[in-house]
Amino acid sequence: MLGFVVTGLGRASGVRERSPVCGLSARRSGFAGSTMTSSTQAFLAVPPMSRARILRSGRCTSVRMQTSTMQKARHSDKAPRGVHADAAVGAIKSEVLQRKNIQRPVMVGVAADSGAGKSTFLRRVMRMFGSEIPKGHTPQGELITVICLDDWHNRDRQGRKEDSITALDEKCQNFDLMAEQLEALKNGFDIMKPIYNHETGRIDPPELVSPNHIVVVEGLHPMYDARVRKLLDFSVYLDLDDEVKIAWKIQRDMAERGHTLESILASIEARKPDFERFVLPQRQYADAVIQVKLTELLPDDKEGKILKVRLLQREGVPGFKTSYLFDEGSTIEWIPCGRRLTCSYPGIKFRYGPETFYDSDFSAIEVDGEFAKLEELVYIESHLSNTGTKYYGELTQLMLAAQNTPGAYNGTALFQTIIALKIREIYEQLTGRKVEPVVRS
Amino acid sequence: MELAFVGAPLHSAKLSSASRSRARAASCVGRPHLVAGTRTLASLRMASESMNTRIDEAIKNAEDAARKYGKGSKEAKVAWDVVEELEAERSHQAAQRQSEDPLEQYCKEVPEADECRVYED
Repeated sequence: MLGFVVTGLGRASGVRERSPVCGLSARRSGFAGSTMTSSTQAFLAVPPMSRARILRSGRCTSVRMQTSTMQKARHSDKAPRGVHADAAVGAIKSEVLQRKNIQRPVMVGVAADSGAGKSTFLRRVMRMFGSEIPKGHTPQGELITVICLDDWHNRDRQGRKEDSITALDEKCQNFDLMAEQLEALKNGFDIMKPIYNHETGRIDPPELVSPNHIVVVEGLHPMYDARVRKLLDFSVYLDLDDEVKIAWKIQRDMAERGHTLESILASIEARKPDFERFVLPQRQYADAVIQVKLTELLPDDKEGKILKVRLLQREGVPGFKTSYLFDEGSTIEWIPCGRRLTCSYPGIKFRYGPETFYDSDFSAIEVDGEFAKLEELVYIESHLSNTGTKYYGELTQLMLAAQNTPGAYNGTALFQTIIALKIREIYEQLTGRKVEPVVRS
Repeated sequence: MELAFVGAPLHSAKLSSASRSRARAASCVGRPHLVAGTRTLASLRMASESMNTRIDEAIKNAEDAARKYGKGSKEAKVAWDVVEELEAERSHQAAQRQSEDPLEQYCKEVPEADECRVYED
């Protein structure tokens, strides 16, 4: 029976330890509250200030002090085979709210299939909120925490095989627990969140996740369940055309052994039905959609070297000022190449205009082509408005700082960076706080 | 024939871990602080080899399932999903290894440095 008891010291008496990955004892401390592993006792013997320092400097970021009462999550028995039985939710508000001075957690959802550029995008967002990218299964930094929704899979790989369902299937997610725990987190409570290990394909013992200024939830189903959707202050959907999916998968997986072109096509085909049933419908709820297509500038370019990328922005979202080119609300087609900007073949073409998407008002910015020199982006930046930058040139500086990441020279980097800036802006709008720019002018 | 590209950004997809490790070893003679975080060539190779073998097996599994039960069958879908999961994890781990490497981070900031010269095998 789960029941951490707060001792007279005002600190929890047990520490949940993760699997032996970090070299600590694998023995679980149990929930009786009074049992302590020897490492915990050693840990508690150290006066409080040094303890905090040990926490932060340790290589093993999975050991966390629980400083509030935790109780078994209401939906922890929902998963088959009892895999979420250890999931818990704080009974009192987390102490980090005060320690980190959190006004209210801003929750952002990012939906994308694997291989759609999610990791690159998330790294940009994390960079926006701190110069160091936090490490660990669930990166929990000073300002931002990124949670992978796969952690709420209610079946491990073996279980999915036995029940013949893919990870995309709604039946494979414990949405009740996900909604309960994300709501708790948003309301300022700690949670003991399950862990899904992608390498072993197993469900690992849960880890402590505390509220943070920004909590990003990313995966295949952030907008699938209405209760989770309601918690999101902003949501992003990364959308790839089929030909781009194939081209990127070829680049990612055919370089390594194992795949032939046929097997790549077969794997994408096999994934399609579940993708269209469970992931694609979430696109209609997104506040921002980044669509990647093959270029129109070159006839028959299937390799995906040159891409046309579109940024769709929903109008009327609180805190979200849509970015635009030249004149807000008008329709523009712009080829910046000429006397002031030199472009290599096949050039660059911009489009901007209002668009109706799933019967809602959106505005769309589109860029087709590649930037020859990132410094020229300053020229383009000077014609974009409402990008969320805090100084002229910040957009270019951010792109330059990430010039060795995939897509650094085309619209994927440009729009991912703009959305990351927008997330910062939305956070500032909703909380009244300010975030210092990470890259200085 | 080895060519050195000075000032070119590092495109990790084109380099094998072997040639990058060799370049790292050669260039870190005077910079011990850059060597500190790197894993040995052998351990890097082992980790990626075991992942590669598992993915190979998973692909064979999926192709067998497709042949046996049909391309659109549940078994084939589940098998291909396993392949996708492993491949995503492989590329995620490769990116992690990249970002943890102090030499890579240094080269991201200063791609023209001598230590960051890229050799194509």
